[in-house]
Amino acid sequence: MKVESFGDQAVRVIFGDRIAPSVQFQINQFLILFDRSPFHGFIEYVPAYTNVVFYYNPLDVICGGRKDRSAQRQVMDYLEDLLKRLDINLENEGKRRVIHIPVCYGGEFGPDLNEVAALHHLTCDEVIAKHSSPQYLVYMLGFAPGFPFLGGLPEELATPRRATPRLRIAAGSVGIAGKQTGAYPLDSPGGWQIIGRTPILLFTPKENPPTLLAAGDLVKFDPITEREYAQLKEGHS
Amino acid sequence: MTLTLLQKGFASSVQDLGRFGFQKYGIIVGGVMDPPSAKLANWLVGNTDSAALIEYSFMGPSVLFTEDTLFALTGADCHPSLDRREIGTGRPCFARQGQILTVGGLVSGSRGYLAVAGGIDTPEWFGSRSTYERAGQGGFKGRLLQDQDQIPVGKPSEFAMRILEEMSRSGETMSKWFFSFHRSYRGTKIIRIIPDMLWKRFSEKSRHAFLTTDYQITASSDRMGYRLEGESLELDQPLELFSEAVTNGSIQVPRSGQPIILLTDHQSTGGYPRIAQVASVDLPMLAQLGPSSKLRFHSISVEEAEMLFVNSRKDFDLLRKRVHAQIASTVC
Repeated sequence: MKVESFGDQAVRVIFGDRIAPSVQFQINQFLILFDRSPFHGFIEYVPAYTNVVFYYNPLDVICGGRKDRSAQRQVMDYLEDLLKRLDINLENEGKRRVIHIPVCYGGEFGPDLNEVAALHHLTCDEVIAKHSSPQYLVYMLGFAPGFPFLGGLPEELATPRRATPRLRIAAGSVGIAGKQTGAYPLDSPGGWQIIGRTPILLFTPKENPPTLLAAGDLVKFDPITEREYAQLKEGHS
Repeated sequence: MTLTLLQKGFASSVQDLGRFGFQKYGIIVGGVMDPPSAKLANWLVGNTDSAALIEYSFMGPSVLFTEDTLFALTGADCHPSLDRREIGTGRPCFARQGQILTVGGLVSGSRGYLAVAGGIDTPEWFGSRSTYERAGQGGFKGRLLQDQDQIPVGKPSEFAMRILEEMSRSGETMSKWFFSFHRSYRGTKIIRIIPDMLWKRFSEKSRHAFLTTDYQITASSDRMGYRLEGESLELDQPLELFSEAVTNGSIQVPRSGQPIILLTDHQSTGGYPRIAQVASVDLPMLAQLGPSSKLRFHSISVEEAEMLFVNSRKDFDLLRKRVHAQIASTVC
């Protein structure tokens, strides 16, 4: 674990060099610890797979701290001290939220399901069973509001992106790109292989927080029928 | 009251100083591209720093005032007029009900600001009125401004009301004095950078080229970032990088080897290798440069960058006091 400079108004705390649930767990524990005593001048943090960036206002840091040292040095010292106090209590590992996301696989909602199945010599039902069995870990949100970077896709489902990206993928679409799986919070262009769609919203602008998921959550995809999709969609609009 | 937008100008939008604290949910900060210019505009009309205003790029809007209004224009140079009478920038101006402001094309610089006393009063979304176009939130209906939009304006401060009354009584359209930053946007601009942690992973030839040759801003540049054209940059060895937080001024190098400088509307995370980070003090200048502007990067230490920023903010606080005193002497 170490703290690195990131420009003149941020630092990056690095927890590892690989994508692993244990690294994400350390990050989450560290942020819980940090939330109890943020430093003066702190603006926000952004967790990612292996590290967290802390943004700060240098004037406020100096104003609330020492005048004879750079703000960045003071922030780094603070975070380095906090890292020493990080005591990973693995009993909390069981406390992750599990969020169920209903997905209607195939058909018009999952136009690439057949292709994904054919590529892996599986039936569509087998793809659905494999995709909906794991609990995926939300490592981070980014790219778009509420967009989760999920880990845990079964290797036999890993599929390259489409050769030609689609100009518009509907919000709620669930897809695979390489070893990643995820769901689109907004209509966007994209090259993911789309295998289904959820009727529930990942981006909820009227709620606080405005996203369904947060880093550290577990996601379980539950297969539903088109009829159930329609009913749930009704309930969410 | 409202402003009626007769002509939207180019990429005009409602902005303030940005939306902080939600990048961990993938929600961008956004906000004005040139904060010093935006703050100056707000001071000139008696607003707080964080009041929302209209930012425009390359071409300014035309606006019909539906009530007597105190307003100010800052940022890029232009030849604005009120009912065809030239009014200039960097000063408080007084419009009577029914008068029309025409900002017109920007002559030097790429972003301009129109502040009105009371601020643009669209609903806040998570503590900010900045337009987040991709999410359809913030600003005016979550989108760029369009012709005929009726933009709500808040209640002017007491200070603003006194200026308004004084100008109304004297019949002056604008103050004789004005404030401007001594900036020039012509020629090759020196942009100071701090090498990123991955700096040494770029080839020696690339690092040398990055600091000794010009990079030109291309036409595919907007509030999200500037795509540059110049000597191609490459890594010594391919790197496996995971997505992580990126920020205003991050200089990413995608596989094409042509760098991209991320700006205000950048996504919260990115996965390309970064060669450097623009010193914060130079971001407002960068925001004013447009396509075909040339940049030359100059490397400084992070301590130097921080000191430059802190000192610029101290100078800026002095300017605030001078602006306030100037207005007060006009009114009293």
